[in-house]
Amino acid sequence: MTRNFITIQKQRAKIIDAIRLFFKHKGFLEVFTPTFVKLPGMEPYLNPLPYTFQDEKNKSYKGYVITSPEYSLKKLLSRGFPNIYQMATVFRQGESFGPMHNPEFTMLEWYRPHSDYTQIMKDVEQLTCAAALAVHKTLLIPFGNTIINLKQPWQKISVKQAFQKYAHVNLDNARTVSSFRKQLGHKPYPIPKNANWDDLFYTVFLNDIEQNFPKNKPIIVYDYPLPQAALAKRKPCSRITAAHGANKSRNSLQGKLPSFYAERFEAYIGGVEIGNAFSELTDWKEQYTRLKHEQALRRKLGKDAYAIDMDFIAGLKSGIPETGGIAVGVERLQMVLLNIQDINDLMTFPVNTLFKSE
Amino acid sequence: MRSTNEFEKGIVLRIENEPWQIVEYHFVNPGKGAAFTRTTLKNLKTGKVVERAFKSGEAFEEIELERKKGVFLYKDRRNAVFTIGEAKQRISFPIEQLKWELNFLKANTEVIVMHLDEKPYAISLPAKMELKVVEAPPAIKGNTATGGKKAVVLETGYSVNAPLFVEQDDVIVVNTQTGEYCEKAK
Repeated sequence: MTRNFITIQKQRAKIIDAIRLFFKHKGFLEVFTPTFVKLPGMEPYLNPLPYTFQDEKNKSYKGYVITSPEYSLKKLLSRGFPNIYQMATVFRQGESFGPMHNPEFTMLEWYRPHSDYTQIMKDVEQLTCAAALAVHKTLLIPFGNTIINLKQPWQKISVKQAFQKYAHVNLDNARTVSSFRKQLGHKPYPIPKNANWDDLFYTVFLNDIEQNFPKNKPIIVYDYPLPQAALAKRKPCSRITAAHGANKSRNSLQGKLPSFYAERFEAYIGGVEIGNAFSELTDWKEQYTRLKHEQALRRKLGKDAYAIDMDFIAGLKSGIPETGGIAVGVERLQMVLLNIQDINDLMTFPVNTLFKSE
Repeated sequence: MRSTNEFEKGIVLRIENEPWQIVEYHFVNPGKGAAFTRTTLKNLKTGKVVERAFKSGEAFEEIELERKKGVFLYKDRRNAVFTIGEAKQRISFPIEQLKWELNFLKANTEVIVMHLDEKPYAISLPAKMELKVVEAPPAIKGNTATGGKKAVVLETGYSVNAPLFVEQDDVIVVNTQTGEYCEKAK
């Protein structure tokens, strides 16, 4: 490491200051929600850390460390909170100790009621630029062998376009495992045995697509297929369809195939994934159905299948406005902005030194 | 069989019927799907290097490499020639394939010849090798602008940065992985 450890920590703090200042100027309220909860996120592929604690009568309480403050923040939204944000400490088990992962990290989430993911795209661009200016005084930042130009607006590509362009896969015709698989006949890489839909998606995404994202500027990848967006709002049927529908009977509109895509985006800077955003799913019935589905998948994958957080569902039921929201990995953002390739060079006490074996 | 969580640098796997050596690997977890292992792989038959991602838990057959003792004889304009084993069986590699290794190879150097499916495919050099300096500019006193180093030429024609005290006809130890000067041979 050429840079002084203290210098890096000072620069990290500058970025945190810039984040708080950004949200203050935008009129967001900073909120604080629990790290330990009874029912954590249901995402089938995340592994929340279980914990037990006792009260003064030695009664035990079982719960988990959050993988994201999302449920708590949405419960606040259902109670009429305005634009809110939190920088939460979160934890994920079953992940490696670097270079892009640390089991404990900081998740920055913000939510905008009466808005959607397009506004969040603007937010994430502006926030990154504000933080870059705070440490570099320029939007041209060095990262590895390149200089990243953060100039807005950022390049955008839909997941469907990316699959078509880089993998020659038409996702419209890949709604099922078999129709997806059929399009992968001549791929030069092995397709996992017993692959489910998500496995196929990521096998193609990681082998054919992600490495094509530009290294010298950010890119926003948007509109993910429904299986890849559990908490996102489904896209409306295309505008043409809706216009057609207006002149037709209600029945024919209902007969239309619902959109296969949801309003989710991911932001990549210099090839590093830094954030994941949604037009939030606000329909409690659909949310409940999707959580049921995820719970079943967790069970099938042999993971803890805890109960659905019915307070969260009740919150949605009591009504929350159309909302845009995002989760940004703060350490990832700091790595990119501070030209650090290994998260262990960023953390004060990286987990691989805290828990090193002998 | 080697599962993704038993991947190591250097091991060779049979993937889609081709021998691929793991050059680099790391874990990725997109969060919305199963974890994956990203790898950089080198095809040992063609030399082609590719990036591949595998779902965690996928397993592949490991190919055991056979290591045979060999001796470097000479190179001509096209090939580098070695003998293998007691029987001194002669084999050759195109020189383009051994560009790096030839920086350090002189006649009678002992090497390991890696075999795959009974066929030689690569040379493994000793980690450190002793080579004679054939050309060394005189040290100019007080010249520290180059960090107290100067370029010297070795008997194989390879040029390496060495400390100012290294002189012509000295024998020095070179790291064959990095190509850097280690020390003066004792």
